[in-house]
Amino acid sequence: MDSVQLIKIKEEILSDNTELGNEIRGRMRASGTFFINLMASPGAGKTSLLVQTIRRMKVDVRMGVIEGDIESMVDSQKIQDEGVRAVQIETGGACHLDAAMVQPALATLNLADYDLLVVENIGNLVCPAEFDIGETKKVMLLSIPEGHDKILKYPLMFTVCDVLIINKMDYLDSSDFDLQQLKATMAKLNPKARIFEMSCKTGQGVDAWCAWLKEEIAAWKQQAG
Amino acid sequence: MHELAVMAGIIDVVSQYAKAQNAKKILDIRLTVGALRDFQEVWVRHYFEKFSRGTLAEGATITMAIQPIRFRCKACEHSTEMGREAFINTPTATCEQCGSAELVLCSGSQLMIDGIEVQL
Repeated sequence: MDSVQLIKIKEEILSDNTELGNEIRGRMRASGTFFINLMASPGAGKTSLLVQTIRRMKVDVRMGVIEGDIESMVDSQKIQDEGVRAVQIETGGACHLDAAMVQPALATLNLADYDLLVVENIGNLVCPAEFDIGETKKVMLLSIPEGHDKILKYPLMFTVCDVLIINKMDYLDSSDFDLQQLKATMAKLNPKARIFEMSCKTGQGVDAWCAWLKEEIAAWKQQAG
Repeated sequence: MHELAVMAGIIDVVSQYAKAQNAKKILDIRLTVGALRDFQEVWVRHYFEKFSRGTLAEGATITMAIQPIRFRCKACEHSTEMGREAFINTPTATCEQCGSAELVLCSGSQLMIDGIEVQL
């Protein structure tokens, strides 16, 4: 006779992806490569942030960029124009990157040749928040014109990020963006996240970000031994 | 859209557990999903139906328990619970017991397969 049984599983849904992410993180640790997962809405300024960062850091830091954004052939060119290698991931219209998608791009690089690798994730505040790609730090970029309420509409992204960069600060005075409210909500959701106020256009805050990044890279390398 | 990638993974995991018990079929899949997660039940079910065809999970029901967003008050330790809607609509949420705005997130982002009900 048929019987019904309850089987307890208690397994994290994305555990396969997280395992692969951990494997990538292990390789990055071994090679002393600081690995950033850069996430934002389309148009928030991911490529501008990369260009500004490259200009300030490429003398001391060996950088590479992995382009995951769907329409980023143009972005790849902008990065290469700055003298940094950019590898394109063929995403085929996906809404996010996961560890398995990043792995083939990493396989084309000799990790030991890089102090810093940045993945420009697909422009989306929902899906990329769910997936570990083996990053050392998740960096989220929000721009003033998007509004301070993005944290309420897409809370997971703000909860999982290690760094929140608020870009286009030059628009603050002409907008109704409530910076205090955003910071208050951030303090509840993710008090450990580092916040940088920035304008890639005027250069405000870019040096502070680069200084932080250099310290983090040095600490990561020390850990690699 | 990410529900698509996730659903394939869920079906793999539950099928393995069901096979290990020599189950004839999976009747119900129980998930816990934090309210902070962007998991729309309608898409979870839609992709499940497509991906489960021909597997032990075909025809199973999905029971999604939504884990509320919970904040702990730094001042009085009281825990304040809210759903996604309440979270979106109260950006200046304060502790329901002492009124402090010093709240820290303590749950709401879980994503877990709790278990399955199978027919042996």
